[in-house]
Amino acid sequence: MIARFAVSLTIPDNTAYTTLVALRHLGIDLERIERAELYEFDGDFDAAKLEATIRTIETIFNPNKHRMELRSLAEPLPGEVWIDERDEPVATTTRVTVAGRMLEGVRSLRRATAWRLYSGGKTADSATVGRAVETLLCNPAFQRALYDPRTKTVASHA
Amino acid sequence: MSVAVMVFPGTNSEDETLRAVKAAGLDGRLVHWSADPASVRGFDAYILPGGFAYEDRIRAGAVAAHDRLMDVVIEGAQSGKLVLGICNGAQVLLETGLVPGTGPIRRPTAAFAPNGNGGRFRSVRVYARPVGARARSPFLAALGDAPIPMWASHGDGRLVASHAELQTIESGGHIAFVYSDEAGITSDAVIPNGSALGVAGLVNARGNVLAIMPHPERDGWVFQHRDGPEKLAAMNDGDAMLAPSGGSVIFSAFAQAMNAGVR
Amino acid sequence: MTTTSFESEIDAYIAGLSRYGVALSAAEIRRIAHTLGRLPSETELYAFDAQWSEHCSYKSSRHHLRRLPTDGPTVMQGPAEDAGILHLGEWQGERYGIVIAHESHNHPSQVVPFEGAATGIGGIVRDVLCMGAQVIAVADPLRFGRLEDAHCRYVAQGVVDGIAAYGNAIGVPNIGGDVYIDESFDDNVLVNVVALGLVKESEIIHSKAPKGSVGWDIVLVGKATDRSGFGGASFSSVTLDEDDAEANKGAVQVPDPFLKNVIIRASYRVFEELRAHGIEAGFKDLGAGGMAGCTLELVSSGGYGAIVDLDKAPTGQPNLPPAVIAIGETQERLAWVVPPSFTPELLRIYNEEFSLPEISRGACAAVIGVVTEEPFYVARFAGEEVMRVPTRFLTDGVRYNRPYTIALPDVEPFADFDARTRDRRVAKLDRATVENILAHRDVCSRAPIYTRFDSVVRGTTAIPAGEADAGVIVPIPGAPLAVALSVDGNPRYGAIDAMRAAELAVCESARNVAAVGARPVGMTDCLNFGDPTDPKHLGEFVAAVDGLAYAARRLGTPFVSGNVSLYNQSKAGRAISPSPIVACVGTIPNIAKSATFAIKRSGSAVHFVGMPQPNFGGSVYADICGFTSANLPTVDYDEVAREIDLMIEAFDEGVVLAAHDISDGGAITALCEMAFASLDRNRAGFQVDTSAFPDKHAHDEAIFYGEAGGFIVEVTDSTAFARLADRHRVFAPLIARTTDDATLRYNDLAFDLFDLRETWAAPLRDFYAEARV
Repeated sequence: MIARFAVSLTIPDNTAYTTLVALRHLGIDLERIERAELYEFDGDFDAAKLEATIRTIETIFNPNKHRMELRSLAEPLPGEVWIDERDEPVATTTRVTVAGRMLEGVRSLRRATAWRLYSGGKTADSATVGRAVETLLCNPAFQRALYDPRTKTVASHA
Repeated sequence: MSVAVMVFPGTNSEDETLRAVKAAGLDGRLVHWSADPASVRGFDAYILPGGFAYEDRIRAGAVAAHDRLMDVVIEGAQSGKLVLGICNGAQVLLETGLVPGTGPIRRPTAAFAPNGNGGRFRSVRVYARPVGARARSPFLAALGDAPIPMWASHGDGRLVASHAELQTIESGGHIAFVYSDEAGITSDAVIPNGSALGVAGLVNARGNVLAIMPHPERDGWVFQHRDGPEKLAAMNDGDAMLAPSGGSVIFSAFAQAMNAGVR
Repeated sequence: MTTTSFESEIDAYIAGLSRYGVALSAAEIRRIAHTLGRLPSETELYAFDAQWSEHCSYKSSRHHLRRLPTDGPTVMQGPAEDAGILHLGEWQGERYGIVIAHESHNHPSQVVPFEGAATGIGGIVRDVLCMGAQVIAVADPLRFGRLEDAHCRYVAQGVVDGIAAYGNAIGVPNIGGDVYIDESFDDNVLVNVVALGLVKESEIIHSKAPKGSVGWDIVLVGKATDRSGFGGASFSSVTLDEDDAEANKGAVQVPDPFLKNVIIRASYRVFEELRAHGIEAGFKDLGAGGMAGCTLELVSSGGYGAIVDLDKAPTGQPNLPPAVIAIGETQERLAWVVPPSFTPELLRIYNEEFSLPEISRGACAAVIGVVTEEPFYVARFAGEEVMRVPTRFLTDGVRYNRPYTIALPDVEPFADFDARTRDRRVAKLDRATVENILAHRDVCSRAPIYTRFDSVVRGTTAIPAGEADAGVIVPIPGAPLAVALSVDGNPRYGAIDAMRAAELAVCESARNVAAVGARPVGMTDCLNFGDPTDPKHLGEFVAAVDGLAYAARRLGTPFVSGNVSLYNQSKAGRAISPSPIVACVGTIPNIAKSATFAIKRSGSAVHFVGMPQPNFGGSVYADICGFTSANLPTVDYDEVAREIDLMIEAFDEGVVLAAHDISDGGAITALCEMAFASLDRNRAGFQVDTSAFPDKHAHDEAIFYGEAGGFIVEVTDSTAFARLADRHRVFAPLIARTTDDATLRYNDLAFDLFDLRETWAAPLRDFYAEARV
């Protein structure tokens, strides 16, 4: 099975802010960016137990500054792009240990950064996301970008 | 001959880099990120020192590569001025696409990606051996064959590119330095980060823009050296211990190329 | 209001106090109410809670600390402020000082290891910066629980990651530190940190409002205040259990090394401007007790008061209550007291030249208050006065003279010890024992830890971590003056006798700097102990202070700053081993008279400096063999001082090629480590010969495994060294000649040093190589 968690900051996200400024500087008209770290676990495990363990691993989830949610959808949301490393060396086949804690039943772990872009009161359209990916968000030499060019935009909640 | 040592928010190696530049006889000056771009155009060369420019937000070097002062540096590089990026500066140069320079500006074709140990920072003594088309590069030409002592101190120094791009990098003579032992032999044991082909530094086709991951300025004086004949000979001699040596050849070669009028 | 109704009002207030989560006692609340003549406001309550916490007020420890020597010819400034200053030397007509500060971040690191450890570095760096100094080095003494335990593993990895993430980014080299692993730290990790700064004597800035500063501006600089780190000071002063640990995560601050890097550089610019205009100012970091604590101490130490507008403090979250703005411990903040004429320039440097607001949302420099004549600390919020307290009442806090008991160690005559443990002891140099010692958790290679830290940024490092007993930097470019830094404190000794452990920590740290040719000039201490309300643990603390005080007097190395961390125990009552941890600063007039411990050449003479002792209490050897003993090494201070003098003179005369102090794992460990460091280059080995030891000392067990201290020294000229040793009346027999066959030979034994190095390198390497996020 696969379990996917999105972890984002509850304190001001300076990285998202810097990215917003840089993309505007590149002529991409955005009003807001949200950023989350995605952790995708693959294996044969009890999802509730796994989540409970992850909530105690400060380097993934620190209640002092993070919120965490389960992402059931296996693909990016409208206006969102997932950036990950092509050949991230973290995953192992025997056992996965995170910060000294063995994750029972987990065979592999992949990480990605989810960027969600907003423009004109809505999520950004795929052409805008595409330009952000190409100009700044992804270095294709070692990263991949996953977003759906067909999705429609939806209204911003913020 | 004036050299701008660029300081972005998060840069942390500017002072020692400036010292190395001055020791090579150059008129080095720190240029701060809030400087007026017009005032930065007049420099004859640019050095991007180590650190974590813009906190390596998005990824190492990505934000600094888009800084407005980098417009000036890119312009200078394209006009033939010498540009040297060390560690974080090297990451920035790859993000600008100036190095290896096989694609358009700000469309990187290679990266110094997170180290092969899970992206963890490592700080170790290394040797970088000059290789490749040295004759083509005005300042690499001044270096001999001998491995140069340096420190690799980074979390993102693993050269990564597509198979085809790696072939271009290799056959096009873009490899400036590989990690080696003291005798010049490269093996997995001496590559601190899993870098492809053991690459420690890359140069563009014109040879005026060099990106090097390990720090020559951290092993550029006798007192900084590991134990060996040179340091042993300097024991009890303060002047000898404080003399430039080792990694300082990078800066003297830089000065030599500048004085020879590379533009 | 009648007295009785006020008393019953106080009683009712105390009864309802639990919802505030403060650590103040009922008696303390009464004292506050009586002095103020009213109940404290919520902001005042939290201010007293922070200022009167053990962490800020040293209420249980302060009168014991008075026994420490703090003055001497090497002292430029004693422990009055956040950091002390020692004389380094003169260069180009200027007298330079080395600023030193020592802190602990134990409780936060147990709860959130990564951020707790990172924040510890941030705090200490500010302590040094606010003396007007350049921050030039840090070092970390670390004490981990058993790595077999899952949670201890988590903590041990998170702490190293946190130090790396923060320290590497700010651009200050991490030149040393030490690591011990012991079950007494299973529930309470110790994360201490030492920082050094460089300052010209004429340019020291003080952490107090200067004379005549009434009407001057109080300027807050740094990160926008948020809820993180609220309750930090009192949190450091309570014992932990698992449930609390979760609840307490909110009290740990969120560090931002990137912002710190920029603030440090911007502050250096401010120093330049102040000097250029000849302006005196006050500068202090915000630590425990937050903004109110910092600005209170700034004005109070100048004899003044303040009026502060909490509304003017930049905030990063909406609707923060005044108590959080006043007391919260949001990281990366400092406060200035400057004349109003300089304020615009100060704001320009931080906000425009270094563009803090663009770098971190809400970060900036802002005027928040004014220095007043009247010695009251007044805070206003939304048009109301939320705080009005006499400054001295708040800063002086309370004092307790708590009861303590000192247990004496169960020392036994050697004959009894010998008879009792004979079956377990190996007594001879023996391959299996050497392998076990080298793989021991307190001896094996620390490279997997220190290579995670940047030890060479700034380009001033001459001897980085791992190449000698002390890190060495050359802090003034072009000048031969060098500074050595070492940290020490053995918890195996602490568990047996806190006083002797403290003495041995002082001696070993002094020897460590002497082993690189440096003269020990001063020290700092971080005193990590259990609950001071338990007479046993307070007794350990008191005994340790006595040990430090005595040893420092005898060696002439005053304590110029320090820190106390109490309540290092779980609710179940398990306390840490008494851990007096000492940092020693040494100075070297000429960097060319220093050396690493690596063997330099083949055919050199190697001397053993010091007197072997058959006291194996707390030794690695005892742990390996599985016996216990309370017989710790004894200290002959005259001997220790003469050995140190010998080493410094021998370096100065150019006789020393390499030196290593004898400590954990004994002389055999020292010899092996000296060879390991030069195996690849020189294939260094030893032909060992103990025949120069007179009969009464010629016991292999004491020579090779004993931890009584001393040095192993590779010399250029054995005769010359022996002559120096005679002059200093130091016992320094020849113990070996260096070879080039990578083998340690002794009688008919021959150990392959490449094999032994692998045994020594493997344990922590394998632990820290684990794949993880």
